[in-house]
Amino acid sequence: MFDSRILTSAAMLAIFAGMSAAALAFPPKAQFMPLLVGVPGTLLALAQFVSDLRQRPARVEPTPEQVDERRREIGMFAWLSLFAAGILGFGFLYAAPLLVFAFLRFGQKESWVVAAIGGVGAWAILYGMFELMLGLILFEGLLVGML
Amino acid sequence: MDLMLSSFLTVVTSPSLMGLMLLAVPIGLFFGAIPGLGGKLGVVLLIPFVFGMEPIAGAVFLLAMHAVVHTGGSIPSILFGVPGTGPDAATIVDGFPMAKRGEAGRALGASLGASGVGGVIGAIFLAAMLPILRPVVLAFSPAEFFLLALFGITFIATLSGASLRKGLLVGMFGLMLSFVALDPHTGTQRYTHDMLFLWDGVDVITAVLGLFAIPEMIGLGAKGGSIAQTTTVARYSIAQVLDGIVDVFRHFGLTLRTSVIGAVIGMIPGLGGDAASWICYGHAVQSSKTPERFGQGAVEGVIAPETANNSKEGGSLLPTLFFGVPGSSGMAILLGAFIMLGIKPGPAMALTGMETVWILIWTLCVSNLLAVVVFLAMAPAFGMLVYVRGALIIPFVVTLSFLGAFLSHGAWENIVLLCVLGVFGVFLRKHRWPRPPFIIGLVLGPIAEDSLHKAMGIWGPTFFLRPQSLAMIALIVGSIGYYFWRRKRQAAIEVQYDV
Amino acid sequence: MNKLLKLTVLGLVLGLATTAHASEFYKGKTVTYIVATSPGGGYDTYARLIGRYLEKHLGARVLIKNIPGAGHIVGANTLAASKADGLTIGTFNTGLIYAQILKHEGVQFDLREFAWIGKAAADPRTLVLGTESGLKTYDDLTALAKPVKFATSGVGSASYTDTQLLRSALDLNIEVVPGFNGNEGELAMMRGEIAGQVGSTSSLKSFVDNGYGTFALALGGDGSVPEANSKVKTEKGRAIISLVEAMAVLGRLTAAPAGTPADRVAELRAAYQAALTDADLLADAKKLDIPIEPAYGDTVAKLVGDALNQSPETVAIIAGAVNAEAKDITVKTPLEAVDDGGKIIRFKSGDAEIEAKVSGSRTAITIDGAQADRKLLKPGMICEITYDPQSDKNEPKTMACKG
Repeated sequence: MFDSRILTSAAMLAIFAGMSAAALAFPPKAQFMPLLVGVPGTLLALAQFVSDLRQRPARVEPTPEQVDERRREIGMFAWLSLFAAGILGFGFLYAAPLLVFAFLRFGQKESWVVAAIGGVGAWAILYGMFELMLGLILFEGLLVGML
Repeated sequence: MDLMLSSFLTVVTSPSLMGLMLLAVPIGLFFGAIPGLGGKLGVVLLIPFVFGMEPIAGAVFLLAMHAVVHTGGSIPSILFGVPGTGPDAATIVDGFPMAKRGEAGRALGASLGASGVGGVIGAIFLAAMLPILRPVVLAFSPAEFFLLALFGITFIATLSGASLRKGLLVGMFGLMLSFVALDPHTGTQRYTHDMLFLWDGVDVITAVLGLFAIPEMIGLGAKGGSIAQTTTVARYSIAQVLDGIVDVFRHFGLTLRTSVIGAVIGMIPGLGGDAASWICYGHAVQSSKTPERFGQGAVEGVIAPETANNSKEGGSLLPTLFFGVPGSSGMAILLGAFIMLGIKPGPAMALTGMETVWILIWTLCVSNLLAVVVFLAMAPAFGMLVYVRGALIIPFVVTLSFLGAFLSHGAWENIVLLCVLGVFGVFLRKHRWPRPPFIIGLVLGPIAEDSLHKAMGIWGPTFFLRPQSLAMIALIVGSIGYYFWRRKRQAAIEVQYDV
Repeated sequence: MNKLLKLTVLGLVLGLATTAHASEFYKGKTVTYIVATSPGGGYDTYARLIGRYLEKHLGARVLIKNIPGAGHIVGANTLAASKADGLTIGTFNTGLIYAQILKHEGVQFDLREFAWIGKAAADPRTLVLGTESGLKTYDDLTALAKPVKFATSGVGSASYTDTQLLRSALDLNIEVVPGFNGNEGELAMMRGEIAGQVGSTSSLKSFVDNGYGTFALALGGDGSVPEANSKVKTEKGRAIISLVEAMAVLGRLTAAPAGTPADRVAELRAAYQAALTDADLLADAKKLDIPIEPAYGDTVAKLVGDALNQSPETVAIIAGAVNAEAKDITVKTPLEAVDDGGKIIRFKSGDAEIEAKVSGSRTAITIDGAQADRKLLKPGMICEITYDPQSDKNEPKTMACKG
């Protein structure tokens, strides 16, 4: 089973090792600091990784609460991806209100009214405050440009 | 002396000036509170309105707005763990845990009081430094910046909490990420891989939002409930806010010290507001008798960065007004606005423009105090937000984070970066890797490297043998030594993190 | 006669109809004005000022969109990639001309293809010497025995390129220290760490007015300061100076993406011109203390095109001047002429005729493998010559000759 604890230290190790290796290709002045931090960092990350590997806590059966929490966490990741895809694809003005509405209604099981208020409120703030009042141009979405 | 008094009277007895300040303060609070907007954008957007005004009126309006931006920036930091502006990120470390404990009102009050007092002390500092301004500002060169940045970086160790190794690693991770950019000293592309949005470096606001706000929201969604994890009933309590303000005076020594440090850092062009907040936060930890409380909701952890945020305004006005060289990027825009209004900053100010200078100093004081009043009216209501159920808060904060990441540079790629760092942050949080050291690395890394190369370019490798540098090294070594000596005297205690 | 009259009337009516239609296009629409920097700063200030008056004269709403990054490259890329419908224009640093000439990484635009609207100011370069350095005039600088330090922005930026080009053109005895953004260079001059800086006259003006420095040399200024043109000693240097001066004329450019319909470009140009000659705008600009020296449409397009048209030799010089290490050129070619006892040689490098000065002490000459003196060089010998195109008189480093 993939223990995310060990994966996290592994990721750290990979980051430090990778960045230090890449730094070797830089000219001397440019590689100085990255190596100065990266090489000790790689060693330290290795130590942490090994330490994490060694620590094997006894397998405890997760409580029902923890299972619930785990499930909800995965749900949150899914929603985050959806938000990202939506906003990147269609921009703030279209995607955000829709996604807020969907999250409230389907993700958190709020009533239609609450969800609707959330969605409309999001649109009102984004449009009214940012575009109208401040004259800022909010991101319009990558896919919208292609249409 | 009487110039000082007469300008004070000019300010407070003028209905138009007071009115302008009363208008400017909420605007400044607003621009600070929305992540990604910030004081610079505020000034830029207000300039057209100021075009036709009298020079003094326009300058007062803009300065008053800019002076309270960081007061507003602490609001989302405390309530949601989302930094309103870069320098307000340090306030998250202890402010947000306070909110989770149900002490949001107190944290807001402390932040408010600290900002107000800090701003006033910054103004006083500005006045006091006038005679010796030039030698002090010019005493700091890239060599000293490097040493100061290095000093700040050593805070990574003291802020590492239970696991020194993990804290160091996260701090060094921040440092490594700070190297991602088109290196200005050699023109080398470092880790940018054809991604133009990284050429100027990793955006600090995006990184902080990703590593702090996103994991908190995911955690909140997983756990359920509201931000305040206590079982007490939500109370509309102005008493709590006032208690927070009193805290500022309970720790007045710290308040005074960090205000001065913030003002000094503000006075030296080149370090920046982020450095000021973190160095002062680090100082608060180092000088505390009970450093283990930090990271879990120590009110000093809110007071220290917030005083610095506001006092640096006073400091950075010094080189801006008297040299015509802006003390910060925000000041650069203000400088342009002042020139447009007909005020000509430069050495001539000391001779002919002192009345204007004093009016501006009083503006700083009064606007900071006004902010306290305005905010005080709203703070208890804001404090209630932490009791709202998470379901409603999460989409709001997430959207705000996406917006903040996008707005700071207009690059949609930062939204992707936000999510990538966000996911990484979830795991760091879950497995008890402290995250504040990351920001220190990210923020101070470029200053350290840039100053190092400049110092080497100007003096060569022996740059630290200059008298000013040696003095700074002595100060730093002394400070670190003092910290460890004090820790040795107490039982081994560590800082635990709840963020 | 009748037919002619009818045709004329028809023509007039049609003409009026189309022009009326064209000016209807912008009414009620929104034009996006891309600024390649973050809010604040020179380009943003000009754009917001001009944008306000464009609104007035175009009848459309003008929205400023700040797209900073990569030294104006991101903004310019975005402009180039925008829909060419006449609703997007943008402004960016003239220094991008260097970026295009040198085929800088990340450049995804072609300045030749842009539909040029106009430019708002001239931005002559000057060389400023800090008072703390003790140097006051250009002659002080050239009289120095040891090199002094000059500050520039990051490697690859316009400021860095300008300084390196000047150093090469005038053979200045300076050491470039990069990384000084914004006003950092000015502060360093005040502290005496840096002797001088090359920058735009407008941005350094207040520094000099406040007594912290002096204008030592100007490129294309008003004559009150010695001109670089009068001090340059080599042909190569002259070519570089004229390039820098040409670019200085093109300050605060505004363009629309390639392929924008001609009638809309014409409208934009007309509105831009109306804006920049509007008395209110000129008054506002005076208040902001920003100069307005406009040029429009085709004039700007030609100037940009000319600046981009540099001979390969000049491109090599620019590249050499800008790189941290100079790039030597190596060619294997027969010597066409040898004069003055071997001191001057002529040969072809690619298409160019090169005249090079052979040094008695520095040039390493071998003939048929054996070390030789320059006196022994003869026309017709086939030589592999390595020379530094930046150096005065193309002095070769090595010559390996046969025959």
